[in-house]
Amino acid sequence: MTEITPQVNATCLDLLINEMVPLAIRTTRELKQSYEQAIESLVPQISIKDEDTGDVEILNSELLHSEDVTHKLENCGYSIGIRLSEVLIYKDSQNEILKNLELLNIMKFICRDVWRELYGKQMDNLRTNHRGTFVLIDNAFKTFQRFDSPVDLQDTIYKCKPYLWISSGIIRGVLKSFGVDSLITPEITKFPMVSFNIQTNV
Amino acid sequence: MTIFSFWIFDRHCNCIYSREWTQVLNPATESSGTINAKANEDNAKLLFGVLFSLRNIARKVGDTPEQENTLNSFATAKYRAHFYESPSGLRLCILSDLETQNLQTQLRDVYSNIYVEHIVKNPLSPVDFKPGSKITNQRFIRLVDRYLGPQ
Repeated sequence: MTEITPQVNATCLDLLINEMVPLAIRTTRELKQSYEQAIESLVPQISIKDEDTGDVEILNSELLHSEDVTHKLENCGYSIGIRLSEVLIYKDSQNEILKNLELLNIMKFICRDVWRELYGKQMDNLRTNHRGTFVLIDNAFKTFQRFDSPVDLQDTIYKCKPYLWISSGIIRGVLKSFGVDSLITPEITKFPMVSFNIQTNV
Repeated sequence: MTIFSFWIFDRHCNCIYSREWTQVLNPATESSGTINAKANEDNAKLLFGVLFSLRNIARKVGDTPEQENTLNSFATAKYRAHFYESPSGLRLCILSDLETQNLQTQLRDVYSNIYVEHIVKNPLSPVDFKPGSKITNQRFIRLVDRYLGPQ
């Protein structure tokens, strides 16, 4: 391809992704508060105060691992995933993997094409029990590259976890675009190594 | 080249990182010097005060319409203090021996390759430090040590 491919500055993208978890926590918190006050006047009250910008206090919120936050992030990823696979298929319609759409090939598509598009590298390992369960392993998850808590490693891992839900949503979205329903559990096995446990219904 | 200590002051004029190196026989096994131990002491405030005043006088006297004058370093009989200020108001300072003439590139390197990369781009670390809080990230400490510490 000789035409110019539109590109995104990696740092800007990183900074944007970094803000996703704090944003999800803030909106959840605001929604909760205003919900308790009055549902009718909900809309005008949703605004994000700037009291904690430039700070990381927000990540100490008890909402960090709450269902609402997880759900929001996972949904963001899901809708990225479902669009992303269309874009990738369009860009590379000659892809060998896409000629035979069995489940293992779709997983390979995620490991190779989707991951390369998102993180500039492939997944490092793909395991399956041939009964619909897959484990995808990335030995050095790119989003976690610069994560380092001032407290300790345990704290780093604790606060990293929500970011994984974005990626796991993306995987669910890509699978869904091929008509596969799935249940995905991400895990930080040995920071910055991550694994995605994928349970499909096929 | 010997570097005695390294200091960072944020734009609220607080010392957010201080590192002193002492000479040890085996740097691989022994820990050298102190981290953030001197940040709250008067020395940090005095050092900042001197740098702040010198920078101001440098600007007042040496500015031309085309270019702002900057403070690069000043020397005493025992050490030389190297100074770098980012446009955002972050101030970095190294105290070295008198033989070391210029550390501007090194200071800029620490700012752009270590501070920006591992503090600013690190979502788990604050970028606006509250009074009294310090940089305690292990990775940051390790990288600064590797770059500036005794070999």
